[in-house]
Amino acid sequence: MIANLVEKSPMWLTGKGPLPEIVISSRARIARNMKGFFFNLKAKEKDRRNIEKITKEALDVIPDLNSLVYVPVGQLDALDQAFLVERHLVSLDLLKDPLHRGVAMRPDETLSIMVNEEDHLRIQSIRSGFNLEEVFKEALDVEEKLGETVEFAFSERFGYLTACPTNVGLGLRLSILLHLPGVVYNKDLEKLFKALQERKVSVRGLYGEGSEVQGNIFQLSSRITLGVTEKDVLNEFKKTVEFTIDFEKKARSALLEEKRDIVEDRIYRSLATLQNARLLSFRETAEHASAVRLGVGIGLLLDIKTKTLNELLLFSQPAHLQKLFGKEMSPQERDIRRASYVRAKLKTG
Amino acid sequence: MCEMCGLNPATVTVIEIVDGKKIVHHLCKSCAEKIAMAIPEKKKNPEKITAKSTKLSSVREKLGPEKKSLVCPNCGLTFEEFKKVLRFGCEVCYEAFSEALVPLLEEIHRSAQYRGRKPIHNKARMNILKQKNELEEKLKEAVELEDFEEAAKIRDELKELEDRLK
Repeated sequence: MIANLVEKSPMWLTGKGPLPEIVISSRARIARNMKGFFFNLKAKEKDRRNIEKITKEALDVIPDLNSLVYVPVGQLDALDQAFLVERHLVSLDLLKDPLHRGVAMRPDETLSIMVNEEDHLRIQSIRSGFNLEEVFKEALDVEEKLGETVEFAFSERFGYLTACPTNVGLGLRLSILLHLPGVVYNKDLEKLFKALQERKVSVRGLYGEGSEVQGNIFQLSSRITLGVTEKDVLNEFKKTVEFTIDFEKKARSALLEEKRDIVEDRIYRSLATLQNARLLSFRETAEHASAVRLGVGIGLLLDIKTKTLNELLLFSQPAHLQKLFGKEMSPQERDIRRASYVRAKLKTG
Repeated sequence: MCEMCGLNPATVTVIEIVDGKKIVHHLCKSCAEKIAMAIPEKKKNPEKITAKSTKLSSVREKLGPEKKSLVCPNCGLTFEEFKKVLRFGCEVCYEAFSEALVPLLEEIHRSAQYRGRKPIHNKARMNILKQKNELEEKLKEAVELEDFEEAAKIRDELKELEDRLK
């Protein structure tokens, strides 16, 4: 199964869908726990085994979900586990104690259900581009179907009961991956963060440790799960995303008006580096890919597809590279391989 | 010693602001309480509800001091433990700690009352799905044993169950 995944890129990376250059992908995630079982913190191995069994049986019996493939994470080697984390199919938490944890997934990765993570079940729907309605609808549909077969922990007062109080109630979190080079180059990031904080949304850089941001890609997530309806969350989050996109567009206009030459120079230099370098770290790749992506977004570089850039970023990550080349590699070797992969990839346009 | 009663050690410092001037009093606990109660409500500084940050540190503050007696009767999680990891052990924890939870939830979500959809767990449907599963197993066996009469019977039953599911 994992071997197959390496050969293809996930559907949600295809660069189709609305506004693919700024909005890379949209995601809806719903957390649920089964009634009558301890949550992950207190669950013993036998509990996890039962939860895994019940989930697999439930999926088998639901017509639309019995085509999902269950991947038990505990049986994978370290490289495959890291690979799944890079694909956002499994979270790092899941790997600390992987027995009886896993993910049931659709081969094209647009739908996955994590089993025995922070909560017993985490349903995740992902689409390319700006498409919150579809992921919202799919995640809720799947939750409803599962809920007919499996009884979820629920209280009238607090809603669906989750391990963490930040998820209790709806258990629903919407998020979106955004490319914001305009905001970053224009040094407006603080301003944007402040505006978003007031809109009940959390923001973090997708790549990079802590406060460091690589590649100018950010993940925006809805924060509130109690006191509002599912539709409220969708509507408010959509508005916030639209606000952010607008913010980015304005930043780009300002940049191009005031510093067009500098911006163009940066874009072309980055393209040249990616096309010619013999050693590329992931950080460098992400930075240059961002400039090139901006070039595509403002209509400067016409021969490169957004999908190519998406795949480039995904496959430049350590586990992906190692699986692609079929062996484990030292960091230096990875930098060489990464550079050669990037050169080849860009030739395809 | 307390400047009011002169009997107890002064452990509390009370700062009074009168006409813009600061006056400091050193009192014992009970005299300080008496003073606090005597001040009309509106003269006390209203508690400012500031930052909407949901960083764990500010969230922990809202939980107040450890209530040593709070333990979940189902999974054994203590309130103290919960405060450290901010994770619950089971569904019953919510009820066990509900009193302390409300301010926490207000801090995170500005609300402590659920407004979303309700679950429609349908036991009848679940039973039908289980039966269907069992029959499918039986069908496989019957076909393997070449008992086609039996297989036909099972297929009819399956069809009936499927119709009920629609």
